[in-house]
Amino acid sequence: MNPIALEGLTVRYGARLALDQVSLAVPEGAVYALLGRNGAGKSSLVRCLLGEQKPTSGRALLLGRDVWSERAAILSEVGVVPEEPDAPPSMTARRLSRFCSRLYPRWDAAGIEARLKRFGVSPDTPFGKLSKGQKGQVMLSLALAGTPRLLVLDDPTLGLDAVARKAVFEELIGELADRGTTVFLTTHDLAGAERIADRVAVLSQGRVVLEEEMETLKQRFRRISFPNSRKEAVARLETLAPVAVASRGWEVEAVVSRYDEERLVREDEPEVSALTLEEIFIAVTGAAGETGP
Amino acid sequence: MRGFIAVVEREIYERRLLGVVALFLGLAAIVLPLVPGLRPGGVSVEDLRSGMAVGFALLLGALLAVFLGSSILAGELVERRLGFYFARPLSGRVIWAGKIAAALTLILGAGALILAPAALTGGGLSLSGMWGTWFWNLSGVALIPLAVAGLLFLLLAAHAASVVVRARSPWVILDIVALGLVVLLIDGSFRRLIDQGIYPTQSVWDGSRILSETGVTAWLFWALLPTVFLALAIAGAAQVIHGRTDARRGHRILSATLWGILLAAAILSAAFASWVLAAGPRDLRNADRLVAAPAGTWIALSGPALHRPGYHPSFLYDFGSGRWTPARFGHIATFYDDVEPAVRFSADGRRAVWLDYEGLPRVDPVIHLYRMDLDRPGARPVRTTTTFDAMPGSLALSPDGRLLAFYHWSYKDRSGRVIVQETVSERLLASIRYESVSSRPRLVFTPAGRLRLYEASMIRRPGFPAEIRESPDGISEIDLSSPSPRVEPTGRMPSARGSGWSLDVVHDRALLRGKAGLLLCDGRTGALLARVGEPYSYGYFLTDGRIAVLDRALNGARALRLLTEDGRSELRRWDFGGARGLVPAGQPSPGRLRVVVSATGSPGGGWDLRELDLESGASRSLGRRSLIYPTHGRDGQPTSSLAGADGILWYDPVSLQERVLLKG
Repeated sequence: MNPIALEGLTVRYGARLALDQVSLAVPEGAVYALLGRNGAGKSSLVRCLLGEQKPTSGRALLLGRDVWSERAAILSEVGVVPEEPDAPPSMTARRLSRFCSRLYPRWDAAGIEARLKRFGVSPDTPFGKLSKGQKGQVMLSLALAGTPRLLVLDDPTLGLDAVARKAVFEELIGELADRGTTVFLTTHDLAGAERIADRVAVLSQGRVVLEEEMETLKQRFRRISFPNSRKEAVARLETLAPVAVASRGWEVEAVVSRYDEERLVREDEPEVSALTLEEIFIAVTGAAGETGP
Repeated sequence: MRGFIAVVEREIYERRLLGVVALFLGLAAIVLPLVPGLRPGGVSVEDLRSGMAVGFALLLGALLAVFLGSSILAGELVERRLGFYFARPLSGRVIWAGKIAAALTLILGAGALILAPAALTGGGLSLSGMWGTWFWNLSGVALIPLAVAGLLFLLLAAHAASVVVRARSPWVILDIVALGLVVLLIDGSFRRLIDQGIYPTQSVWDGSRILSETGVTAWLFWALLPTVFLALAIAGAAQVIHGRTDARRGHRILSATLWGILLAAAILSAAFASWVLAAGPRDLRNADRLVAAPAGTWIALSGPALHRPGYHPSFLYDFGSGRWTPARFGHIATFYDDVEPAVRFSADGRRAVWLDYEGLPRVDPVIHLYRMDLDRPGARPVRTTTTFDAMPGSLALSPDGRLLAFYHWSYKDRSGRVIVQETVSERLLASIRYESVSSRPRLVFTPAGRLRLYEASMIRRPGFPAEIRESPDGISEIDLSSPSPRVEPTGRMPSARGSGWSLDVVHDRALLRGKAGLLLCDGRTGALLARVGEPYSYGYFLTDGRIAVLDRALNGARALRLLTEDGRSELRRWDFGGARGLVPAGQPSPGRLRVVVSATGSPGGGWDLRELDLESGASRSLGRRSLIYPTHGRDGQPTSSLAGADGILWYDPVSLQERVLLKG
C-alpha cells in the first residue's frame, strides 16, 4: 500500500483549473519531493492531501484511506508542517506539546524537548515571539513527536536562512535514518530537496509534467554543448528530447531529457555535463507550457 | 472526547486574562455602591450591588459573545490559523463544538466571577433593585436560562455574520437578498396575524408578556425562535465540518445551510399565517357575538376560530346562500371589550356599515368606514373615504340605509361632532359641534326623519369618583330637514339606577332596567309610562309591540309575563318553578315566543328549549340545547345563540325555521 495515492485529483476555482487530473503515488519509505513554481497548484494539492479541501473530482488516499471522509482518524499517523507556521501565538512550545500529546496515540514528549534543545529554541517562549526559523523548527518538532508513519512538509524552509534550512534538513535526515518515515515534501529549496529526496515530481499549471526517481532523473537530463557549425549535430539533438535549446554565437547549448551517449558522435565534439535538480527544474518548467519532457 | 476537552482547555487557557477582567468588575460592583453620591436614594447597598453585578455580567457577556463569536472561529479561519487544528487528528465536529463550548464557558465563567462577590456579600441576583420594576423584574433563577440562551444566540449570530463579512466572497449578495426575503416573509407573517388582532400590539413591545402568550402568534414566535437558533448552530457547524480551512467554501456552505433553513421556516410561517387567516364562518368554534340584520338572511358574527387559539375573526354571513365576507368589526369589538359587534344593518337588511382599523390599533390609528350592499350579487365590502383619527363613539344607519350618523371626538381638533352623511355618496348633510359627556351617545334615526341622541350624564357623589350612568337620562333630537340643524333637547329619562336599557324597533318606547325596577318610558320625551317589573327584571319588546318581562322571585324562581304595549296590563303569565336560568330564544312567529330554561342557569348544556303560545298560553318542550352566550338580546329583541347537537343554531326570520348556522 502506498502511503499517498492521488487519483485523478482535480481542483477548480470557478473557471480557473488549479489541479488537472493529478495522479501520483508515494511508495512506503520514500522521500518524495513535489516541485513547482508559484501558482502551479502545490498548495491546493497539499490542502487536498490533508483533507482540508474537497477536490472538485478525484480523490486523495492517505495510508490507504480517503482523507476527505476519514481525515481525523488518518492524521493521528501523519505529521504535518504547514507552509506558514499557524500555531496559536500565545502558546509556548511546551503547551503546544501538551495539547498535541492528548491527540496522538504515540506522543514523544521527551523527543520534542530534545529536538528543541538541538534547535536552540526555548520551550517556554510564546510561539508568536519566535523567529520564523524557530517557528518552523517548532512545527517540525511537533510533526515528528507524533511518531508519524507519514510526514507532509509544505515548503518547510520557506523564508528560512541558510543555517535554519540546514538544521531542518539535518533533522529530517536523522529522522529518516532512525525510522524510515515516508516523507512528502513540497519546496522551493531545490538543493535541499536534492539532498534528501529519492523521488521527485514537478507540477506545472496544475498538471504533473515529470515524476520519477531522483537518480534516474539526473541520469537522463544532461546539458550538451557543441559548435554551431555542426549542423548534423543539431539535427541529432532531436532524438535526445531536448527541453531547452539556445544558440550562443559559435556554440549551441541544449538541455536534453533522454540523454543517450550512443547517439552522439565524437566528431560533434560535444561537451556533456550533469545538471542539478534546480537546473532540471528550470529547464522543465520553462518548457512545460509546450510539452512534457 | 479527549480532543474536545483539549480544544476547550486550549481556548480557555489562551483567554485566561478574561477572568481577571471579570473579577475586577465583580469587585467594582461591590465597592462602587460605597462611593458617596453614586447610590440613588431609596436603593440599598445590597440592591445596588446586585443590580450592578447583574448589569456588568450581562454587558460583559454580550460583548464577549459578539467578540468571541466573531473571532474564535471566523477570525482564525480568515487569518489562516484554523489549519493548526485541521492538521491534527481532530474532526470538524470536535473543533466546532470545542470552540463554541469554550466560548460559552468563558462567557458564563466571566459572568459567574462578576456575580460571585455580590452574591457572597448578601445581594440577590436581580435587576429590579437597580432599575426598578419597570425593567424586567427577573430573579437570578429566571435570569440564568434566559441570559444563557440570549448569549448563545449572540455568539452563534456573531459567528455567522463574521464569516459572511470576512470571507469576502460574492455569496454576500445572496446573504443580503436571503436576509431581506426572510425578514420580509417573517415580518409579514407576524404583521398579518397582529393586524387581525390575534396578538395585541402592546404585547409585542412587552418582552415579558410574550412568555405567557398562548395564541397562534405566540406559537409562531416559539416555533421560529428555536428554528433560528438551530439554523445558526447547524450552519456554523456545517461551515466548519465541510468548509474546513477554505473560507469561501465555508461561507458558501454556511449561507446555503442558514438560508435554506430560514427561508423554509419563513415560507412555512407565511403559509401558517395564511392558513390561520383563511378561517371562514364555518371554522368558528362558536359565535360569541352575533347580530342578525332586522330583515333578510345576513348576520354579523364573530367568535374564536377552530384550532387557531387567539384568532377571533368576524364575518358578514348570509346563511341563506352561504356567502360570507370577512369584516373586522369583531376586532374592534374585542379591542374595546364590547359585547356587540361594531356593525350596523339597515332595517330592510339590504345594507351594512362597519368600522375597521387600518393596520395596528393604537399606533397613529386610521379608522375606515366600510359599507356593503348585501342584496347585490357578488357585492364586496367597500372602503369609503370616510376616515377617523379616533374611534367614533357611536354609529347609526337609517332604516333604509341611505343615511349614516356618527359621533366623533377628534384628537386632532380636540372637539366632538355629530355628523350625518349620505351612505353611498358620502355627501355631508350635517356636522354639528357636540361635546358628549359619555363620549358614546346612542344615535337613532326616527321615522319622522330626525336623529335622536340618548346621552348618559355623570353621577357625582361626594367621596366617590365621577362615573357615567349605565343608562341615558338626556334625550335630544336633530331635525335633518332644517337648513341649520342643531341639537335640541326633547326630554329626560327617569333614573332606573340600573345596568341596562333598550329601545323598541321604532324607538317610541324604552325599557330601563335597574334597582328602581323595570321602567317603560316614552322614547322621545323620556316620560315614565309604567313600572313593568321588579328591580333587575329583564324586559323585551315583542314583534307585535307587546312586552315580555322575565321576573325573578325572591326564592330565585323564574317567571315570564306578557304585558300590553303600554305595559299597564298583564295578559298572561308562565311560571318556571325550579329554573335558575330563563333566557328568550326568539320569536318563530308573532304569536309565539321561545325560551330556554335551565335548572342551574350556567352557559353550556342542559337548557330546555320551550315554545310558548302567546295566545293560548300553551308551553311545549322542543328538546335540549346549549346556550352559547347568555345574552338578553340587542334592543330588547328576545333572541339568543343556541347550540344543538348539530352546531350553532339560529332562527331564520324568513322561513321562521331553526337553522344550523355553524356545524361542529
